[in-house]
Amino acid sequence: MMLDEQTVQSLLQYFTDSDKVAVRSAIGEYSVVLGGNASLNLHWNNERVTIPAVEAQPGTPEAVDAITTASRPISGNAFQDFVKVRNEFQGTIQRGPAQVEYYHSSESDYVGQQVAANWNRDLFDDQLNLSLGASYGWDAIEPVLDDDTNAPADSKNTLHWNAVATRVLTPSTMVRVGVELNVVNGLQHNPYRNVYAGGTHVPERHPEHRQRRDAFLKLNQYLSQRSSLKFNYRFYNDDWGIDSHELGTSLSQYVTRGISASWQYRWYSQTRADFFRDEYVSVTGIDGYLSGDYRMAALRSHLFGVGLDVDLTALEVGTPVLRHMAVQWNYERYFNSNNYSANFHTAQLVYRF
Amino acid sequence: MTMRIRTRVLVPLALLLTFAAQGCAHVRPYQREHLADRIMSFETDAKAAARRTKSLDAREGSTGGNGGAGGGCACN
Amino acid sequence: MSSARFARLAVLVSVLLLTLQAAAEKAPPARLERDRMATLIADHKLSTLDGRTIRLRELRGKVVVVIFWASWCAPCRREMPEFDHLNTELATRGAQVVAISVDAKRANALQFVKQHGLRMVVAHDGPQGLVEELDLGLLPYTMVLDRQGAVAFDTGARRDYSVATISTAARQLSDTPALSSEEGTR
Repeated sequence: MMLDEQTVQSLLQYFTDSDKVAVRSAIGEYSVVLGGNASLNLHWNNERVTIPAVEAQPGTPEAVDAITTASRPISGNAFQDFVKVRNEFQGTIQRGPAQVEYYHSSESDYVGQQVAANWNRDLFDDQLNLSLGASYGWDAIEPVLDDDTNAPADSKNTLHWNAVATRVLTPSTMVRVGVELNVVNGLQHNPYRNVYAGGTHVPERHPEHRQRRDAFLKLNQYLSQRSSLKFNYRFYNDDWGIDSHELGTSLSQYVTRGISASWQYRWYSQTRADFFRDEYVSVTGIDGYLSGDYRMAALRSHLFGVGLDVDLTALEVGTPVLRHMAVQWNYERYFNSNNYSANFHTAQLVYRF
Repeated sequence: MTMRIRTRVLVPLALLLTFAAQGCAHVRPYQREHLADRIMSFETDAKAAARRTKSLDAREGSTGGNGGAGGGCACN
Repeated sequence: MSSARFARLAVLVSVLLLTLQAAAEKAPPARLERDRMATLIADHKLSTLDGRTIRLRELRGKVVVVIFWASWCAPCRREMPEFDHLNTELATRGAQVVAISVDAKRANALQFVKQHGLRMVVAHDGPQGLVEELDLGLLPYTMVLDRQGAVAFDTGARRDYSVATISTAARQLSDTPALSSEEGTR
């Protein structure tokens, strides 16, 4: 969709979880309409990830265990927080039905790049939009020097395709269906993590090939009281044996002109990977693979969210600057069956000119 | 996925979609005011979901479901 | 059949059904002929945002650029200030722009006009007024009426027009001298 004017957005997101990991994301975005039915979008993100120090007394068995199975580099002082900074950039150019994109992300041990292309077309008197997309990503991983693990430099690449159809059903109803396919090759486990197996610690090992597929359905319905109700369902399946279902719903309601509130709920359930076990009897794991990553385990999760959107443009605020702005605030609470929980706080400022 | 889940989830989903498609009207451009409202946007949700996915990618085994572009306004 | 294959099949079937449904729908009526459009436009009462009631028939003798727009339509929002500039320029040539809002609420059109300080004549007619009578297939939709009220130019089914194209057409028409009363009756 083309933009109608220049837009600058700044977003601050703060993530904390029950493992005391904290992520602060500062995101900026600039969009501008160019001549010839084209537009440009630039996005950048500076992210600071803080992984907490080992929580046990130095020299105790608990401290040793925490270090040897750590999911963070342990170099020098494991009893200090580990801080990682990630910088991300994405540039998108859209012209008519076509769009190309470049993405770059870098942190101390990981550089990720991706190019993507998308083409979409309105059909049947704009009742249907078909979109086809593809991307290729290539990542370079250079694990930080670690006292415990000795993982060499490695790489990962990802091929992705998607096909999406958006259909206008009535003047107040839209539906979107899509399928996606990802083929991932390369390093796909945590190079710093060890797994207890056969009475000792061995480095985590995941397969180097993964085919991921998903299909989704989204339905947006405008309701008569200036509100909207949305439903979405996604089914995911991969060749590591993980199947997942996701069901989500959200309700947005205009409180008054220019101010809307939203509520959302998301339920998620997945099966475990074929090679995941809570405990491994042998150092060879299952078919040569072992995982200490509980996102490979069976789990269920819930996410609740609330948000407030204030469009100062619609409120006809007096000052020239405020008149072009919108402010959004969002809070989401997530928890899953692995006794894990997280909070997302997001604040966003949009300026149109 | 068991046959029971397949029957209980995917078949009703396909039927729902078919049913929804039968209720379609030919919506003209000047009738799309509600569809163009920001509370109806797929794209805003996709951006928020993408940000959440980045964090949850470290917590859940699957990602995706946010692809696609276009549709809605029919503005030329 | 594996679950993944079944899911893909279900989605593909759904997409096919949606596409077939869209194709099988009764095609929209053919675009009205320009003569019929001119007749419908001329006699339709328009309520302007400054409280007047006008009919475009009353503007015969002038070249009139008529634009159908909505405050929620992104390309319309981009073009309206440009048409306002065109209106200022055309005023010196005996021509003008009339913008007709198809917003459901008059207040939304009024707010947009105030925010952008637009000075051209803007009327509010809603989505069930003239735009529905003409069953316009695009938004924004622009037509240029000559001095006799005939539709000399309209964006029709074209999506590659520009404000510059319309401006050129309006200037050319406004540079054409008006017919004298004798010539007009031949």
